[in-house]
Amino acid sequence: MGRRTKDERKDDYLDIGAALVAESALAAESDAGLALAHVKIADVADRAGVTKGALYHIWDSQESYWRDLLQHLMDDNRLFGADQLENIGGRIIAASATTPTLREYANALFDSLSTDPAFFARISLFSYLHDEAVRASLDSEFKETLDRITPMLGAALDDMDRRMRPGHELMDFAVAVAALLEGLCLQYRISPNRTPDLPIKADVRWSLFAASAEALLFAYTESTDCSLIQEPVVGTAGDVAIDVAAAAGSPSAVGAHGAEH
Amino acid sequence: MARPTAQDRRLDYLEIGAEIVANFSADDSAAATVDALANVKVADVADRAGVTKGAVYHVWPSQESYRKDLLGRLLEHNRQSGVRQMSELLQDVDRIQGDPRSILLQHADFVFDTLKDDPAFFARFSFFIYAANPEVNELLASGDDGIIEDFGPSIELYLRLIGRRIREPFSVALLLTSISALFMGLCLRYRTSPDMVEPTPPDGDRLCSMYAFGLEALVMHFSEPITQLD
Repeated sequence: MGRRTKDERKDDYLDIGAALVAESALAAESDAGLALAHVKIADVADRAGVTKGALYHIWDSQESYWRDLLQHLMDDNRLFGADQLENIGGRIIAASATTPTLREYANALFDSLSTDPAFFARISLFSYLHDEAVRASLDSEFKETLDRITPMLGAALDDMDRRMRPGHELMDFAVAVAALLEGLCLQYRISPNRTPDLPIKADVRWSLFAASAEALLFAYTESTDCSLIQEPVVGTAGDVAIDVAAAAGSPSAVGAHGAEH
Repeated sequence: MARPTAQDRRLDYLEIGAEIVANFSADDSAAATVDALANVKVADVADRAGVTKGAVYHVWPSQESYRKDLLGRLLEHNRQSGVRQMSELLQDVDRIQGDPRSILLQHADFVFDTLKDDPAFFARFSFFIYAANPEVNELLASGDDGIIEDFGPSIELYLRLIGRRIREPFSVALLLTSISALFMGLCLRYRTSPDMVEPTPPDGDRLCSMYAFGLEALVMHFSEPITQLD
């Protein structure tokens, strides 16, 4: 074999690193340093006003501190945000004279989560999902959140005279909206420019999350009012001119469009 | 005040760590180090490659610079796996006179099935706490921009095939941001709670995955039919 060039060797070493990362994500043992590496014993000691030695008296290494810290974060559920949803709801209801629209609620939800450091810390714990304790903890937190969201979502649908389309469950709708929200917060994290508000009217705010959540609303639900020809836009009807076909943007409608061509 | 017990102190120190985690912002730390890859040691890489550490340090001046390049490599991997499939499926679009919609849904299912269990894809999530770090940010952003660049033309092609176009005030970029957000969110949630993201429908087979369904919903909502008047 010919001698490999520097660039080839560089590639080799990077491929090995990528393999190590992939393996660590599948390792039986948690590598607690992965997402907690920025929590240095020296900084903790500094903040506690003690010497590093005081911490090393308890933990024999940085790694053993990280392991305990990971467990602590789990035990405490301190990064988990189920309560947050209700707080946001309470705040915007208190702040507005009328019942907040779904769009206002969506805007507030996005603003709150996209700027919450605890949310991103929680996302970083996804590095430990191969640890069953971590996965189970994130799983139960998610389900608890969904259990709180679905009744609110159901009530909102009733208010809008909408119901789930046949073959779809309210819970699926809630899961999709929650995933969309988390994903858009990650996009915001890369850059707020990625998730700009949509320009409609100066005095009306339409976040990208609200707009995207409406897409899911139209796909998962239908109007209960048969006389309604034009689907209303959620929240503030008439803010956006929306044609019937786009409003009824459901896979059944798509099928019809696709067939024409 | 009673002297704190060893147990109390232990809890105090963990509490401080938890605070750092919960309030961490990468601009607080001057370090350009990609801590998220702290578990990848140059020594291990050298070991696996059967060379000395010096050989690796001949290529990178430091462990940190190695990790930075590694991050780029990981993100590039993500991008390539999506793109390869896209171009393959686009060939299908040209060849097959069939239903573009089923090609779209098929592609969505394929990408989701491919990446939902891919550890390398998940490695990127540990970087988000470092997103304020300019270098990490650039890498996260360029990975995503790549997807948007590659995926954009095919979305436009798809819309043409079904006689639609993006409507005001939306844009292809916004549509793709929403689509990739849904994708990442569902991948995350598939990992914690697969039963929620891929529920078994009560009456037999589901028509398409939650991701494919949502993708189509977004495409339809962000677009409008092209009318005769145009």
